[in-house]
Amino acid sequence: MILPYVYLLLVLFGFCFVIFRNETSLLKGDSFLKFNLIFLIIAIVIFFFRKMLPEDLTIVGLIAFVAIASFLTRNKWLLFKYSPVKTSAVIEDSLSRVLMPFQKTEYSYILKPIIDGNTYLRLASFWPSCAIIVFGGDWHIKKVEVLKNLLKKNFSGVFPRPVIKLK
Amino acid sequence: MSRVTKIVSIKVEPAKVIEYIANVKNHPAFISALKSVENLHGDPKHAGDSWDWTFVMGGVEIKGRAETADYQEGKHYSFKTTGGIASTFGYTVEPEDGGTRLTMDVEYEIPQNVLAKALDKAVIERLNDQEGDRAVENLQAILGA
Repeated sequence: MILPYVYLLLVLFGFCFVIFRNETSLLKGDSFLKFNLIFLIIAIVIFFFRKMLPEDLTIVGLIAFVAIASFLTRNKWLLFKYSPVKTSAVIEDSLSRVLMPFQKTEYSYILKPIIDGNTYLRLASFWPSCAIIVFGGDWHIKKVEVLKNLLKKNFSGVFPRPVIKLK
Repeated sequence: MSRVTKIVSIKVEPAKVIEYIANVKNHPAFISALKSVENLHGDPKHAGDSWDWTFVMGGVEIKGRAETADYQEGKHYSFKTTGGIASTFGYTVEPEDGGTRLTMDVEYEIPQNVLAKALDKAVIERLNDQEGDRAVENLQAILGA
């Protein structure tokens, strides 16, 4: 089955774009989950279409394993080639643009006043130049959704977009 | 020319609403498709002062330039895009029940070459209408519903 090679090729392309780009790249946990679910569905369809060959079941299992792992990280964002100072500045600028008061601790930004006071985002580095942003509490409130969308705009996606420059 | 007009009530005084909108660096916060505002030359409240913008439409980044057209303190702010896409964005505020009645009015024309590269005109108009709804909802959320 060609599917695992397509999957690995896309992952490799994404990795290369991230490594060779100068800006901070963002991989959203829910986007990676959707990516894995699409391949899982295709793998399952192929498995049944090819009359349930054992090797196809192995591929379904492997992709399902990755999909489950990505489900557990769906509420997290991964940053590559990140700068602690610049990223903190981006977060604080975004908070001020949506007029969101906050309390900054060593690793977190607690959003105030959001109902129970437990809505926060935490920035933690885990490798050289890699970091994870964790969103805690209730992020389904409209204002914090607006904040999240604004924050996302400050980082590059894994794959580049075509650009049209108007003159 | 196509047009999008949206009206919304915001529980904040008109001067604060127009002050927030006249700071064009805030625009990516409430305009979902607007990725960034950069290279701001001068004060965006002054007519003729300009900046660069990047929109994302259909997975494509579109970059252009805009300049302030008019600013009336506590009442109105408008700017226009210059270059390939002709458009004018106008924001007018009026007092209403202790808050603000905000009218957002956008007129735009999409040149044929961008249409050919991106999407059908009717699709773009529908997307922009939805974008208008989102923008006023976001402004309500940011400034206070």
